[in-house]
Amino acid sequence: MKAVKAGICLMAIMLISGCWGQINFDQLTVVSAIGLDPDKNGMVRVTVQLSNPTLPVAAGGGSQQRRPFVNYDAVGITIQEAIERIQHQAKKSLFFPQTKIVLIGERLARRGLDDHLDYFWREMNQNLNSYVLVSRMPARLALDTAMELEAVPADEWRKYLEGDWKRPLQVDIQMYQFLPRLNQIGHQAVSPGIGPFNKSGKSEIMEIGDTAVFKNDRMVGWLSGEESQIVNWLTDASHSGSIHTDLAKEESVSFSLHSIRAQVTPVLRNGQLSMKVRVKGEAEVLTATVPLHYILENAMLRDVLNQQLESAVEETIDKVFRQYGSDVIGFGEALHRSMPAEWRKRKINWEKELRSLDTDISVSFRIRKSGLLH
Amino acid sequence: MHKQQISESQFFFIIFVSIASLTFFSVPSQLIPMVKQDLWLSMSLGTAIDAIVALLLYRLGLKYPGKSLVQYSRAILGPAGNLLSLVVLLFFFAVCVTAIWIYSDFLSSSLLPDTPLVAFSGTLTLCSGWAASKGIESIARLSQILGTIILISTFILFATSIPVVELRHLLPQFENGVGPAVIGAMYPGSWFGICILMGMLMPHLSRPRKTLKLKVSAVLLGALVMTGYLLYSIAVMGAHMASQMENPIFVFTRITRLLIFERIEVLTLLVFISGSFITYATLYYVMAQGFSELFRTKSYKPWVYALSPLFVVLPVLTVTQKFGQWPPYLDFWFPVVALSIEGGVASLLYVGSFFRKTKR
Repeated sequence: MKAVKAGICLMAIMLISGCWGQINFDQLTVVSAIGLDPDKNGMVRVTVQLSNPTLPVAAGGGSQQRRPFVNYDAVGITIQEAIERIQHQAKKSLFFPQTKIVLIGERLARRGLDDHLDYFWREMNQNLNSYVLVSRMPARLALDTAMELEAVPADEWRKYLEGDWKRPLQVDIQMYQFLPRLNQIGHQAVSPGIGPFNKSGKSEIMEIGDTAVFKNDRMVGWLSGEESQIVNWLTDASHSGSIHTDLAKEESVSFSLHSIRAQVTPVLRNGQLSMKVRVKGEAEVLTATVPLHYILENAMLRDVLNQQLESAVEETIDKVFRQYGSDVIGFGEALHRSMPAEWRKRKINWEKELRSLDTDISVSFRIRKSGLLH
Repeated sequence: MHKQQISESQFFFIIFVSIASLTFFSVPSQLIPMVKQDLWLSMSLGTAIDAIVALLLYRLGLKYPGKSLVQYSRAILGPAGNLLSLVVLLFFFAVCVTAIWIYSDFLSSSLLPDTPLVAFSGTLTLCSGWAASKGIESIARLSQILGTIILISTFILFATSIPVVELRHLLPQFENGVGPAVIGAMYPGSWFGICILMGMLMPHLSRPRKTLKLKVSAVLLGALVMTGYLLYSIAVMGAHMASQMENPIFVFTRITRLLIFERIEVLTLLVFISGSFITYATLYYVMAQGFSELFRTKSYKPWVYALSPLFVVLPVLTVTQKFGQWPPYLDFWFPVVALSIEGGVASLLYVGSFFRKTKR
């Protein structure tokens, strides 16, 4: 028995050589962003932004002159094939679990994504928490020319999308939310857009704004910031916002909106499906270009605000349902949750149902005192 | 010979850890695609099935104090009882091979793709075999530590995952009626039922009268924790995505955060792999003890050594893998056969015990 135990202990020496597939730290490079663009014959161009961390000054990195990131790109029939080619260029093992951003070029998004994004479903090392953005310019160009305060642009974009302080006019979506909506009829995908805002030498200062609307796996159009915030309310993704109301020519009041609660309810009457939307919240006057008296003009301001918001909600719903034929609000899922049998009947022709849907919208905001009497 | 004894809390944690780790590796891929958000009913029914079996084994254990399932089977049914014990022990053997295959296959596809399967089955068998050869006391002591780690890490994980939970993903309930959830109960029921190993552990308990209460509460807690994991997976990623993933709980831990830490799937796997170690070590010990009692050998240890090559090699053979990946095996045959043996053996012995005078 002692000999067996000694033998087992001796066998442990075999472990000294290390484990299967060990990768030393200096052979590993972290992928910060992945860019996807279309190429010829249905191929896809993949760009990866690799972080090149500099050592802290205390660790002797003070005099280092290293580029903070390097971009590599390659073309392949699948994303996997392109990434294998990039691996040969980078000569390092690519580490994907910390990928911050997946940037999809608008042209590829309009061509259709489902064939390519299968990679993100299957590849276990991919980060399902990475944020998805649609780039107005080719993703490769955006990653090459973007200039941000942070050394690696993808880090800046992720922090911005993650932060609660970001403007409510923006949607945000992570890969695990984006993927299933590409083939989910009752709740389809949206993604924030990114595009050049200002040129500074060879670099571009990028702006994250507007929203790309998808119908199944294809992008079908854009929503403005104001429309995006309404989508955010209706999908329960945000409970705040801002709006500028025009009282008369060159006379406007800016409101900050809080505690917004939106309710989207399917109503079935005589076999006719309609959508009941109720939006409630509080508004606070942020600034006004006209003299205001809170007590005297409260009712007038409230009516103008509610009227303007009501038509904004109506126009947004009209745009996504009738113009784009896409259910980014998740009304289909709301119907599925409350009337499963009805959903089963209607989901086959859901796009047609959306286009002919009646809506009953009511908006009621209460104006809160802003601390001033006038 | 001095009989190894385990305390009440040790027995509780052996059962709890076994339920948690068996459910983590085996149940999600069958249950979620079939019943989605109604799985809580399947898990509850599975627990109820197990409680009934536990009640029968408890009564038998009290009727034949100090005797294990193998020993009282012989006392009740004579030579036929030996055959019944053999069936139970072979069933434990099949469960071990199946569970080690699921474990190795999952680790290979999710975490260590370059590592040969035999490394997983080999290390697990080596560790659990070693623990089994030391006896149930050492396994039981370790189960207390690991069970506590599972409970604490689960509690923190559930609390810190609240921001990513969308409760509306858990609706509609019973979209296709209660039928699928009732049928789906066979999956958790069959895996929970493996706790008929209670019949082998009961003689080791210092106070056997408390066995039923402990067993039922351990299964309840295990089922509750794992139902929590399964429902969290659906609430975070939606039933549509969760039903397409091989192990949605694993994907859930890829998405969520533990306090400030991201990508905690390795940590979760570590916890459940340790849990699997307890489960296999207990099953291994129970099997060796059972064979030793059945064939009346002096010690159970030679059986531990004899079984080890089979547990290393059988789960990774191409034939086993093909059989495991053959859908009707895990979807139909395993739960049906498991439930028949778990429920059938306990009922047969219980009924048989009425016709046999108790020998003390």
